[in-house]
Amino acid sequence: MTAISVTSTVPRWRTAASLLGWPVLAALVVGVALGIDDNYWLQVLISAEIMVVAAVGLYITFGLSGQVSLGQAGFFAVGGYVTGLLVTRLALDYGVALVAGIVISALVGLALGFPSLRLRGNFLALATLGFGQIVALVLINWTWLTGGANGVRNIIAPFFGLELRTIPDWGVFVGLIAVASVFVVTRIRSSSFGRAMQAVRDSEVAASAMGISLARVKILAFVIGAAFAGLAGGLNAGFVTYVSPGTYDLALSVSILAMVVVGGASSPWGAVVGAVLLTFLPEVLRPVQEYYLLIYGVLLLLMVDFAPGGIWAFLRRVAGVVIGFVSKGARS
Amino acid sequence: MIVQALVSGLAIGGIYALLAVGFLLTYQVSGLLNFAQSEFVMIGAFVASAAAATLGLPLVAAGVLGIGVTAVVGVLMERVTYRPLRNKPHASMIISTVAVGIILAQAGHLIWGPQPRSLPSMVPNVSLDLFGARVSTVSLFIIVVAVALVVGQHLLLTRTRLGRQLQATAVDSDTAQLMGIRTGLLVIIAFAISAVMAGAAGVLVAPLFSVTLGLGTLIALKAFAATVIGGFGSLPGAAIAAFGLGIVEQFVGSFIGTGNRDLIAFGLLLVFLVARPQGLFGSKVGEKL
Repeated sequence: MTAISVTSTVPRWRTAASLLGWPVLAALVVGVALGIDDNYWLQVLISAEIMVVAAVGLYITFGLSGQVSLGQAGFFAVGGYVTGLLVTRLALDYGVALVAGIVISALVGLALGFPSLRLRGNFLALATLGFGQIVALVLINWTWLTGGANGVRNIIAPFFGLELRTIPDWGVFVGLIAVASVFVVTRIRSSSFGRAMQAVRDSEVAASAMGISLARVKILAFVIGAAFAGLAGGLNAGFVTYVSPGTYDLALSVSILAMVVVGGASSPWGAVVGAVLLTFLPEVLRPVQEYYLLIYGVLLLLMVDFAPGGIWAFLRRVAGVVIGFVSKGARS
Repeated sequence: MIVQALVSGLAIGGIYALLAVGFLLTYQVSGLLNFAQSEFVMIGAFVASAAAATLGLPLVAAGVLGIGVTAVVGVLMERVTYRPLRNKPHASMIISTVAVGIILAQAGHLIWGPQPRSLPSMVPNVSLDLFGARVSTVSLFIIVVAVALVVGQHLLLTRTRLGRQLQATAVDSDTAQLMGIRTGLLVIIAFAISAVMAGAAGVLVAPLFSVTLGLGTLIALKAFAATVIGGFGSLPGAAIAAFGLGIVEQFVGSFIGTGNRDLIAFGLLLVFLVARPQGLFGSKVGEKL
């Protein structure tokens, strides 16, 4: 009788890599933050890492669970404003404010998760778009709470007693949080909840027949995406030290979704690639000045048209072809 | 006061209605949510304004030119969004329309610059006395043209051969194709009609505001809200909801205050999604059937 192998078929080097990979990645991020002399590019990198946090969160909502959201800017804003207001009005510690921002953002995601139960695909996109617009308009109009067009300024406080003063400090801090976020998201992906989410994405009927609660999975997907967007918003508020309404518009929601789609919705690493790429792209295009947004739009269109599965999937396919070619060459 | 609010509400509602029915037509025929529609509004208005100011065309000719250019842009857009991505995830299609929107907005910025322009209405601006209220001919003109175009699109869809083919494509594209309908061509026609509606909205709305790059943004977003409020499957429902939204906004603006006026559309959108997702007139909800 042949024994059924219960060990996974993943090659041994990959198990080792997954154990060693995270500390190495964390060390790399810290090294880069301390190693870049140019503050301008370090700031761009920190912005990219903040967007990585938001994008991997949306990966859970959209990539893993199939729930389109065009309202991530709303959660980003909730996180940013809650953090900012608690630091400036109540003089709370930045770490406490950040956690409060995540929690409140997640609660808002919970509230928005309920209508999502009835809606799919494009309807959901429109509903979340409406949510994002409401948040954007509230930020401008409710001056008593949000400071109106002026926003909230001087969001400066230590993180659990730890002073974050220089840009390299922030580089290390945000970099570590970004790596931790990606780690958490990959763990969620391979957890039982992650598999339930994939099942719901691929077939709601089959998933519910297997005993998965559609309501629980979909709402949880929204809450996780909202929590990460809130964390990203809070990080952004602390890093740039102010929040103002103009930043949190539909363009931000769209670019977070674009990061996941362009990078590749099939893997959290796709979201990472997309976030880094789409944050650096406008900066790289700066020298062409007034043409940069035009070129950005054209490149975005080309990337979606020619790699609709995302750049990560495209790279994997190319790598697969190359490895297949090399191994074939080695055998013959 | 009531009559004035009603007339201005119907005028702005007519603009929403033009965008809503165009947006919905493209969606039903192709399954694509066109987030570049706001830029169609901008292009229609800018081309008309430039044609009137620099070429010295009469306003009607300039308006027709603006709408024509928008239609061409709509047809070109089908090539780069729907055609390459029709069997791909809908999020990719959404991003592709957003990318086209960025390109159009930036092209507009490079061609016409950041300065706002003006576009006079095709009718002289006279205040008329209507039931004791003063209403402007510009608003009445918008209402008349918008109603004519929305009704015209409805008649086209329900009374003509082309319209029945469009509806068949919307209901079941594969079967329609098996019946000998050239669905690919019909999608292009749907894009063109939708762009004409949006371009017309731009030419009509420009005299109320000035011609700016962001002219269409909020209008288009509110038109999206109207499509959901009206019931996503229903074109007449969307048009009625759009007119209704315009009126509600004007009444709230006139009698309560303009502070939170822009919140109404999106607030109603969420209320309807939670309480009555099939909208005012729709019967079914879910993905495109």
